[in-house]
Amino acid sequence: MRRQAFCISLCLLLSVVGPALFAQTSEDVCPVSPDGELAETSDFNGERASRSKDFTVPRRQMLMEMITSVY
Amino acid sequence: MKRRLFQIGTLVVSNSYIGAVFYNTIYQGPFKGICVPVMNCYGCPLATVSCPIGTLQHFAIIKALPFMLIGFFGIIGLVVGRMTCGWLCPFGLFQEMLYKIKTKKFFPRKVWSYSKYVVLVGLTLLVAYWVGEPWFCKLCPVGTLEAGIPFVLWNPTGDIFTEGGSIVSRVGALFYAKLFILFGLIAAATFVQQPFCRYACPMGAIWSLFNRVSLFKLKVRSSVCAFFDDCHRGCPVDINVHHNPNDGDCIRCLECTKWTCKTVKFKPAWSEEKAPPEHEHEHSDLERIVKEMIEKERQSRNHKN
Repeated sequence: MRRQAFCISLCLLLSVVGPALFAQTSEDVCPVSPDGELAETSDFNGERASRSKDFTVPRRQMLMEMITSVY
Repeated sequence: MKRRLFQIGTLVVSNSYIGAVFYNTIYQGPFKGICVPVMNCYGCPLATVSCPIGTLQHFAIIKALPFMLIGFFGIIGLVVGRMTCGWLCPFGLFQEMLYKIKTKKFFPRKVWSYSKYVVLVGLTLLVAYWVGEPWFCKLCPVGTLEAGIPFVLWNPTGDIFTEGGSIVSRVGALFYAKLFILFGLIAAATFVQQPFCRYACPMGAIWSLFNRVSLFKLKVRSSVCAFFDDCHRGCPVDINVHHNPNDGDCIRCLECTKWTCKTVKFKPAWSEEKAPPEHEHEHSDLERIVKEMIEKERQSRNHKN
């Protein structure tokens, strides 16, 4: 039981610290902007882009993929 | 009945964006940043939340580690194992309903259940990472049922939907391939118990890794079933619960805890740390005697046959 409790705490820590360190937000979970507008490549600029260079896929493209993948 | 309510509840809650009908767009609000612990296509016009497998592929494509998702998998898996498959997944409910259709039933060998790990690692992670496209999503039967078919029937106009022509005009070989997979699966589900959950679901593959280590587990009081192991025939994923209660295929539906033999319980890990009761030895003696009786009965049955 202690092992499970330790691992659960570790997961909790990972899910809180990991996204904070790599500037991941809940927006990254789904490639759709939370304000209802489709986000463009310009979303990945400034500090966030410099900290996580992998976020280069335009969200509009990702949203398109999401829709096109369903039909 | 309670389980059915949970499954239908998940379906309704995670697909309740009625605005799609009025505003001709899919939901893009803050809840799309939250994953449900089951397969639920986030491309569905009515979807309010995200699919964890879609998200996993999205991160594989952008080549980033999904910390939040890993934590989410870890927490749920370590607490209840694969229980979300049995209690929350609407697609599981759909397959259970299909299996009730009266046809000849087949029971494939256990080894086939490892194919879901191939789907998880190969199609879901590696292909998405290398090709840069969510290929599991493109072929996913859950997506076809919840999003592909509704999108084609709906054929929305305006906004992002009509980029490159209307949705119906873009229907091609991929859509027919998806339909073929979906209808193949529907047909299979009438002959085999929960074929997608057992042989192809990447979400189930992830949860199944936690079944043996989760905080809550199935515990069998006695490996001897006084009903000649007939009980396992009531298991929706065809597991012999008395011999392997925390099998990776177990969806923790807890149907076995209601069986006649009453030997299976769903208990937290801390319950096993309690000192065994004094009459435990009596139980083991009784178990041995029952085992011998059952063995004799089996032998006599075999002789008769």
